[in-house]
Amino acid sequence: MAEKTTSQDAQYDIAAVEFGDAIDRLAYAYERDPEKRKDLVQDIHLELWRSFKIFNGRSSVRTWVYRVAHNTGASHVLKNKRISQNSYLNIDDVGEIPDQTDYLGTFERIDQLDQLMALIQRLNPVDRQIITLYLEDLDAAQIGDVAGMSPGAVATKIHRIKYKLSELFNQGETDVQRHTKP
Amino acid sequence: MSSDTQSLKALWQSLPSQKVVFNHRQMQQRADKFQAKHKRRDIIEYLAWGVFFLLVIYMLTGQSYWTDVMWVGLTVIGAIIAIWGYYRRMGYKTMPSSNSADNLVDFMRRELTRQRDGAATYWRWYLLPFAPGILFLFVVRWLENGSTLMELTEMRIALIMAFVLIMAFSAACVLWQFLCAARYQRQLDELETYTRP
Repeated sequence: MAEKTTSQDAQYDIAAVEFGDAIDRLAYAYERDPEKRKDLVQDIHLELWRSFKIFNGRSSVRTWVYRVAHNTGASHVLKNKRISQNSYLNIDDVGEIPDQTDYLGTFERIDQLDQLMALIQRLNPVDRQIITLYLEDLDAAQIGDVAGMSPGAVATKIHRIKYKLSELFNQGETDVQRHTKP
Repeated sequence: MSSDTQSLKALWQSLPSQKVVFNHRQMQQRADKFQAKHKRRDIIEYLAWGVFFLLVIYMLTGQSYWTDVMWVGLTVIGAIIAIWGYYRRMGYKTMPSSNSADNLVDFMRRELTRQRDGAATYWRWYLLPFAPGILFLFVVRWLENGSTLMELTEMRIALIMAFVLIMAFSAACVLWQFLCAARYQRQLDELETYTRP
């Protein structure tokens, strides 16, 4: 029993160091409010620590961590019902993103991050999971492993996401150029 | 396009970290607190049920006519069946985030199926249990208010109107639930397109 606890603690410690920053970023996708986001990050860490009690090594630690983290994030959204499930969109349905003012950085960075966050937070849980994993630089096979989807289906989704992100990026640049024109 | 998305990836990965650090003791404390919260919620729920049953017993023993005892009793049994059905079929379920075998798609598929089936059979598990109590009440009141079976007294007209209203309300509820079931089915179909190889 004590041995199992030690192993759970040790596995959590390693995962927390390796994926701590990724967990923090993921929380941005599920919660806008900074205080609530802090709580969410704590919840994810708690779930992660608890999950290592039953971790059997069948999947990689990376897959495990992302699954637990995303499930906790999605659960947080469903529990708080901050956005009604009816208003979730697929990546294809996302049109113009409303202006939001939050987050850090320079003007263009704020603008792009705002738009990116606004896009992510309007997506349904599955699309949200895919877009954040994509932004974390996971490939289609790895994302499929986490999300329980075929790599082909993930690749199709990613293609649409890339297009949407590209649109977003270009829109951001145009806005910056417009603002900085003498 | 590739460089654009690379830039957005870089932007995303530059998001500031909150640097949350926990030690194992804090984790255990939070886990204990979490369990205590759930235990407390269960106790409150059991207490509420206890109070409810005490009220029912009080109401049933306070009635002088057996017909009143009967319809109140039937309605209460109906309410218990309906509430139980709601918990089982439509109640909110927390995502089992500690169970990695369960990915998000599996969880969503299971939940949407449960909600869809619950909505499609709503009339059976939510409305039907109330039928015996309500029908009994209407039949008894009908027989009490008139010298012959078909005589239309004022009270009987009021009973017919009340019955029609209840039926119309029930029909609206069933229709609404069918629409909800169709919406869940659309979401399920959409989910299936993600997982199709």
